[in-house]
Amino acid sequence: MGEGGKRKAQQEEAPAPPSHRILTSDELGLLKVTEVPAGSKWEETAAKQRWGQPDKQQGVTRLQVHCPDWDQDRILIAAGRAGGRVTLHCPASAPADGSVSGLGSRDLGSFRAAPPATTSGRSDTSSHELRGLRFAPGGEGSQRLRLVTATAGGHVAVHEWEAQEGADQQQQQQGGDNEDEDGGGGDGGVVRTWQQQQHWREVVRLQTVGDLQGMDVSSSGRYVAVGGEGHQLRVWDLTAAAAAAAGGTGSSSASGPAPEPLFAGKAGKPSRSGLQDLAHVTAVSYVPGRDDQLVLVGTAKHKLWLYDMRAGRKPQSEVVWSDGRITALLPQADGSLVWVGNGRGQVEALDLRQAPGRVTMGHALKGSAGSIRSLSLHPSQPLIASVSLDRHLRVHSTTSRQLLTKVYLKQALTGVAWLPAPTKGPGPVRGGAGDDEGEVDGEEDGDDDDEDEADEEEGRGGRAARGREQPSGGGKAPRRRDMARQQGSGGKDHAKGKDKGSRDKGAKEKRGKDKSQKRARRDGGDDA
Amino acid sequence: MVKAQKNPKRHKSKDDDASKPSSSKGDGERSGDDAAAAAKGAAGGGTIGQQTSGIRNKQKRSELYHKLKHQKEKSKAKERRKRQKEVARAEELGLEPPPKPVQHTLENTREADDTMVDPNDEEVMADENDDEFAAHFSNARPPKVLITTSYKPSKIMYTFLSEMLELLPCAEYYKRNGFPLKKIVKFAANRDYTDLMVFNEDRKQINGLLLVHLPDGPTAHFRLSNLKLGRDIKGHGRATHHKPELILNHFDTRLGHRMGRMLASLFPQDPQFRGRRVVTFHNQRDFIFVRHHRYIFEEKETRDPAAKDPAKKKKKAVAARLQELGPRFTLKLLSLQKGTFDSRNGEFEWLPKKENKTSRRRFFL
Repeated sequence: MGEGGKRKAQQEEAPAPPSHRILTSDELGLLKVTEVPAGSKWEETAAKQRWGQPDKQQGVTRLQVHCPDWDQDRILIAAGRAGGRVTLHCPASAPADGSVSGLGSRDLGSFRAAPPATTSGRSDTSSHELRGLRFAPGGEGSQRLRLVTATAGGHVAVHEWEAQEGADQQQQQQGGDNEDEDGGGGDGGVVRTWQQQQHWREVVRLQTVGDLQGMDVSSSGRYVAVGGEGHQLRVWDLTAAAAAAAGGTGSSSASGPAPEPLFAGKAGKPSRSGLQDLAHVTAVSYVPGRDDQLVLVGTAKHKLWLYDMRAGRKPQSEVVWSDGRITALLPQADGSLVWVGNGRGQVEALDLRQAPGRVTMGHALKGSAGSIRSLSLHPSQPLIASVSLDRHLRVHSTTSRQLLTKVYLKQALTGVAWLPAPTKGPGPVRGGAGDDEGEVDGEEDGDDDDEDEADEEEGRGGRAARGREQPSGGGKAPRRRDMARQQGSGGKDHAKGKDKGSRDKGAKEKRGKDKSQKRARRDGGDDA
Repeated sequence: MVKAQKNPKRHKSKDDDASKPSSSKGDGERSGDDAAAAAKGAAGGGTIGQQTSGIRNKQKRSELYHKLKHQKEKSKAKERRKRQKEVARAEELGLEPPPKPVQHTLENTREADDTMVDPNDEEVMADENDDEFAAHFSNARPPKVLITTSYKPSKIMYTFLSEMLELLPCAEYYKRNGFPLKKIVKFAANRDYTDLMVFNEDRKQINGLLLVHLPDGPTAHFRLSNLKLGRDIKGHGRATHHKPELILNHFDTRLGHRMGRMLASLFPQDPQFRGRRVVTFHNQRDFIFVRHHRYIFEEKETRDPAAKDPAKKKKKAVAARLQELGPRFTLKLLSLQKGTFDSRNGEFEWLPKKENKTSRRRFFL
């Protein structure tokens, strides 16, 4: 059971930081942070934080994390939601002085990824569901971060993070004064912290195929490859689209003809009996390290096609892999292996080292009982996290293929990403607030506008205190004690763990991970 | 402990081969030592079969086996008598009887599952408020079930279907006529059916059930076994047209919860209690037992001649009697798919995997 140890005892002075942190998103729009206690104690992995309120209309369909240099202070989380919005978050970081900090998430705003409504009144928004979300480097050599989104209706848009001049360091620490302020960290390549509300503006927009199911952006940020039900692979050039839009009438970009795709793939060979599958692409991925020319496509008919854009429209290699539609594709950074997950819960790796001549599947990772929704590789260690419809998060070792841990996260999970583990222990105060289940954070909702107050720490502490005064379902004794402590000390050095409780393994660390701060978390995806 | 126990056995078998046939007395002496060790070893060595399986000689093995078995039964009988004496003594003295030892039942020894649903779980409630069955449970969408069969059903299928149509109050039957299943799903969704049930037959045995929730709800594939038609049950009755009550037992895990909701969405939400009709889905060991009864509560007078208090001689108790109606069968979940029927290329929520079957005490529903 995931959350057993948390409830025990209290914190110590400096709980050891966890060795790994994994972020997952689910169909109810919740983002959960699962932590592996220090020393890679996989058997004690547990979900530690839960961000957001359960709401199926805000279900997360795609999750991306941008973390340059694997720095824990510069994590930006983008969650694509079912209604067509993308919400941005970052884990609120612990301030340097080790005092109380909101280790929940901070909502950094959101923007709409769907095309502007053409009809007034209610329209069918099912085509606005986010089906693709990718961070991309800025175009034309600019340093700005871009986010490419694709909706189910085929609307691909590139949003750029707008940096403003004149933002001071002070505001960075305090988080800005109000939510309208455009977040602008120091521009021009200095260290940017994602602590402010952000403003993203749409740079390019284009209409691609209908019923889009897979999308990927090349590593240079220049090309976007999409595929869907009834459509084979198509690749568009984003810079050309931007130029066309700019050179066009200059008014709403909906005017003008839709740009032609740069590359339109054809289907692979027909089956032995001569039947050709209906076009149904379910996953698309660029193979890194091949100069953006190699694209791997997974179909609903359990086939993998490797396209080389220079070599021709038909796939260069085809792999027929067991039964089940291909749901997730994840290449390794060096482009030698691509991890593939399918609708039957199987995960295997496609070996591309001798592509296109010889392409083989192997390295099966066993254990998942439900369709794999998302995969994520650790940037430095040989670990792969997979998340599936059977409501579990699994971490395997890529070298030994062994299942390291399996965590039950209660909802059908849709996205997973690794987060850098904090290098120093979070401050001594983490109320050992209990686990996610019993919490009802209704009272937190209205506080978003206040979140950027100058004294947000106190504010958070106070809010947390208020929050905890309500006994949430199953209030546990240790939790109440923590609350009292939290309120009293305002988060300095308290933590005289009263009930020693378990000094055991991860217990201290569990507290460290601030259940209290979870109370103070921001509501994600609120401003729909 | 195990080591200490093994040695005497080994010594015994070696001796048997080397020396002349030993007398039973000699055996008795040796096995006397064994007994002491074995009694200790029983705790650590597992079952008696596991303890004796190392002995290759069948005669010796069976002798030791029976000896150990006899001892075990003796000690058990002794414990039982002791316990009964204690209970009798406590009753005499008017004290509380000593607590009964815990019985090992299937539910006790089931391998712990971290997906067990806590009734107060806020996240699970939030999920179920908005899942595919929420409309049914909020009475916004009354059930309407379409029943059909595999290709070319036989007479047995027809008699079974006639009984199923009596069991399900909101069901209609359509002939299969060779339509592919994906098309039937589409037809049914267009005509506003809420569920589609397809019974499969193979060589005059009805062996499968595919339950598709519409319009895009989950698809469950079951294996159907141990079917007994109502007309073959002794003392059976005929169902009336009252809406039945529903009993769903032991759907504990998250997957089980979802299955329970899926089965419950076949029946209307407003049972007519006057009809005294009940349909039971009882889950045990991942098998779902389906029963259909009529019940009646009756007051019975029981006479207790041994009761000391004359007033207590006649006791009135309310007892329920059952009459079985309709078919009885067993279902076992083979797969749960997230969308409508697409057996090869759909997305599955649950599939039985060999690597997940870690022990004989591990169940998923």
